[in-house]
Amino acid sequence: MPPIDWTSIVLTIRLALVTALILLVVGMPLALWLARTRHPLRPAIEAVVALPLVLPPTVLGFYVLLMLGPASPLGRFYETITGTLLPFSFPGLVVASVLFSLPFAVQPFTAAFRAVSREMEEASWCLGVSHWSTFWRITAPQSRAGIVAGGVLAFSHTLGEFGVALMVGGNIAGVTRTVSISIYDSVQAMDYATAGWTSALLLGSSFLILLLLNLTQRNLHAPWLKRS
Amino acid sequence: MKFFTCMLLGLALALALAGCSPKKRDAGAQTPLRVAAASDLKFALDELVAELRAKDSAFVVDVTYGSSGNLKTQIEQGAPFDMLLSADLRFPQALVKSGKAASADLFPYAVGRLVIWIKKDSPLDLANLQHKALLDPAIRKVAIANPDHAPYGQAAVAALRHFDIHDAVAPKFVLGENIAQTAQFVESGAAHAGIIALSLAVAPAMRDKGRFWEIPLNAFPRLLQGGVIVGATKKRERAEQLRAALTSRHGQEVLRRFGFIMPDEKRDAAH
Amino acid sequence: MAETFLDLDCEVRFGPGTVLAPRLRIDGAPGKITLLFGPSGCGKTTCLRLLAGLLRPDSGRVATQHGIWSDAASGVHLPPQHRRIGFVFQNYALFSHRTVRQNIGYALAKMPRPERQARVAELAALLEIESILDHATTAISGGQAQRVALARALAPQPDWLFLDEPLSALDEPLRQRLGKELRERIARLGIPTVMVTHDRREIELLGDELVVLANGKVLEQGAARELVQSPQSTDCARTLGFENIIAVRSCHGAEFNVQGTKGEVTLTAAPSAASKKPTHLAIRAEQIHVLASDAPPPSDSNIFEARLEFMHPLGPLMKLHFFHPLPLEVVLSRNHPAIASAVPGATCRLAIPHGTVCMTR
Repeated sequence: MPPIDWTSIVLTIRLALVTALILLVVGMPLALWLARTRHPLRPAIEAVVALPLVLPPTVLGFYVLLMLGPASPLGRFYETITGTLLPFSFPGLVVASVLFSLPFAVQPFTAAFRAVSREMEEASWCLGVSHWSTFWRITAPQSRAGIVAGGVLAFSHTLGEFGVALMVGGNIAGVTRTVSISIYDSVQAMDYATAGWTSALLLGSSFLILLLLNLTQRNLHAPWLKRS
Repeated sequence: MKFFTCMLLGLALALALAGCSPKKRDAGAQTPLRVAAASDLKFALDELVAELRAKDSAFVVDVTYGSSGNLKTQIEQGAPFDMLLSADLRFPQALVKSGKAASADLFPYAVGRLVIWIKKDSPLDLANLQHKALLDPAIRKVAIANPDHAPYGQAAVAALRHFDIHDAVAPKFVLGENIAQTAQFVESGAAHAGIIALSLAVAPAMRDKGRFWEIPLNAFPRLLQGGVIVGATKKRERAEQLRAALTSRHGQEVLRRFGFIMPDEKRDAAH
Repeated sequence: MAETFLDLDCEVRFGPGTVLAPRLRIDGAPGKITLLFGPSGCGKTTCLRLLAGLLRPDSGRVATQHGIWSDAASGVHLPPQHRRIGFVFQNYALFSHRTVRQNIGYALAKMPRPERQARVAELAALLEIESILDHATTAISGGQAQRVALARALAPQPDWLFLDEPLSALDEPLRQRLGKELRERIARLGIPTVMVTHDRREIELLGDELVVLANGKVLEQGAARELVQSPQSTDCARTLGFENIIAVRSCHGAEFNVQGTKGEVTLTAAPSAASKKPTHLAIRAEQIHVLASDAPPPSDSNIFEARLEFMHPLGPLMKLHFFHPLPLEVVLSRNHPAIASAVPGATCRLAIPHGTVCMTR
């Protein structure tokens, strides 16, 4: 059995899955608003959403730590409810991941929603279907490719999380030691065998995910092409 | 509508995964003892921990290695470690001062030693040149631990000043985030020489890969290694067991084998 | 029996300087088609969207016999979902991720399955699209797409049918045929319809009532056949494509003096014109006759010799431009005998029947 740190891999997959799912639920309404609104604040909000793309992860981690720490209102609220602190815990890491991967989900969502034909939505309304139902029956299926892309990107991006996880998570085995931190640890300990195997696994699985995404995207874009 | 139900299921799954963690079964005997340890202890502590586990399979210790200063800061911010083992006693002392630990739980366990390390195939005659080897133009990069928060880095800087070569060597510095990374820099060849802990130089991973010269103990302030049990710990019994293991005769033997000297010894080790 | 109608009196602002302020009332007799006609940008599609509830007015209101649909002052706005309308968009807006059958049955999701299937089958038979029910919407022709869009809009049995340029996406021969079929179907279904178009040929084909718009305002409204022949306003005449619009200098009864190129010319209109005081006279190019040199001049017409300046073909027709004694455009079929002798500089005899002279203000 090759030396691989399975605990950190399972933890990282769990983190990526949770982050992607949360971003689907939280990101879609935000993306829908960004795609449709003409509110003057829109450019500012879009810039904020894009911040994690350009900010160094350590800067992001620093601010997240400030935001979630025991001195902050959010941190104190969490502590009174659960009795534990947000930093150095898995839920705290989830919050950091969601922020870190936010643009990777929201930007593809927004682009996909923008591309949906306005007239199709209007036609649905004129046919007596509510805005809510129209979203589920028309907008979402029409933007399926973008939604899937955003979800997968958020998942893959979280798999590689290092800087933010280190700042906010504290490298605690089985709780916040993500696979990239584990690899970093192995290299520091000069355990190149573990580092090598774990890295190869990460590389291989990321490639597979992206390959699968590309293969299925064709179907998502035009499933009807299979008929003719 | 199918899409919608899928999403609801997904959300439920997400919340379930996020919330329930098998490790959250709190304070029970299942959770491991979480130790924050200075990187120079890596090989010595790993061995001790393995021995403890062999004797009692329920005694699981999870060690997070890092720079002593960083680990202290994390504990101050609430990181859930049960113990801090630091390469410099003043960090555990700082924890006591900030109220995170009781002074009765402080304990020294070793004194660290410093070496200059070069790769095996280097032509330099380290034994004779000693510290002057660092001035050789063939040594273009010298790795030390970051003096901002790593005790070994601070000791390295002090030693270089003692020999009056700090300003000449400083332009060649490559800073490791902790002493283990520093060792890794030299071991991989990224730096041509390094000032690292003796405990790492004698470790199996490095032993056969290079040569070293020990810096005399009087060239830098004493690296008194000390630990403390964190006040908020829920595993006090286990923590005390580990402390006992570290300070026991057998524990001291293991530490000696990895190049540490004991706090009460005064000799200047021969190289 | 309560009268069915749509009442629109609104203002919509599209940025600085662009204001649309239509005001019209549409009668909803069964099967009656009201055409909203005008050039691009005149606001006709805006009107339709206001009626449908896809656009909220900045001021004014939209009302029906049931009550108020939109009122800017009080903030009332009934969304399109509740207006019981069928809307066919210019490019049909078919749901590309659903089959034709699913498109038609889209509004009937709450109906039990057998009923829904029966209704879809009924509409498919009516619109002759049974053979493509299970096709993807991207695998059907333009004409079929139009019928699918119509079937979809009609499925929930709306009170009104709104069509936004339903024939403009089709090419010429198809347009004629489908236009006629559309007319028949609407008559058979008995549903009051409002249709937007910019194509004059469709007025004749499809219009019962005509509303002419320009620059965001309603110019005139009336029965299509009469309005097309005798508009009352000069702007309306221009919009309806009257090629010859001549300013009037003075009038005596049914005789009007207009400024020609070399002095005044007198034109006589039908006797019923005696009481009117128009500012302009409008005459359609195709209603001016070119007489053969030996033909006896018809009575009840204005006759004069005019000099041909130039001519150019217009599809199956020929357009002749005259300058003396009046600037006039005449349109003839290319087979017309007069064409043979018509060369620039030649003199032709023109006859303008009294009845075709239209008085406008």
